[in-house]
Amino acid sequence: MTMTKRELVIRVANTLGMTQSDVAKIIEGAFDTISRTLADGERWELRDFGVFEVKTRASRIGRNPRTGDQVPVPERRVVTFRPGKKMKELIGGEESTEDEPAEASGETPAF
Amino acid sequence: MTKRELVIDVAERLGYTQNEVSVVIQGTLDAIVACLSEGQRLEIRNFGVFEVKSRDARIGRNPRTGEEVPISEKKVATFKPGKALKEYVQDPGKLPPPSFSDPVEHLGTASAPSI
Repeated sequence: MTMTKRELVIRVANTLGMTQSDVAKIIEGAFDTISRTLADGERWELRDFGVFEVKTRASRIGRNPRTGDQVPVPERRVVTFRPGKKMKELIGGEESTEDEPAEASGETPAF
Repeated sequence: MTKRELVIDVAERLGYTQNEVSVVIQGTLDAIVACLSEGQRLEIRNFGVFEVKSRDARIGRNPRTGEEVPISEKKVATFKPGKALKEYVQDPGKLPPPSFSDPVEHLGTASAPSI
């Protein structure tokens, strides 16, 4: 099941009771801003959601898997994402945030 | 940069109020998290793909004591940048000019035109 930007827009518009056109423009604008500033090397910390960051991968000697030839791989910049707290909790299936209370389940020491 | 700065920038560029932009951005982030937790994959063309992947169970090790600790399988949200974003980050020169009429002078590396 793949959801697209279009479906995301519809979902958000319905939830908020706003027009799809307004929601689409704002979502488009937000991703545009994030892309541009990431290209500029900025780090984005969207609380609860996650962190987008650009990291530099060092140059290395790669190898053509077919021929075994050594191929230089130049240094490159890549976007990384690290999920935030709420994202982790909801995705990881840990529904409740509170740690399981160490409940002594009825086993009261017999005295 | 933070959500606050994103809201301010988008509001300024598009002419919406900060409140409107803030509500939509928060709603969007919440919707993405909700979709992912429902097991959906989310593809934002040019930006990237959000997807939930399973990490296998493995034997971890307490780095302090060296003790072996079983780690159960878990699900994590992943993001894979799209073609355009990859290119922009690798070479900011490939960024198209802003698609909005107002120049965004505090974004990008290009020096502001002198007036």
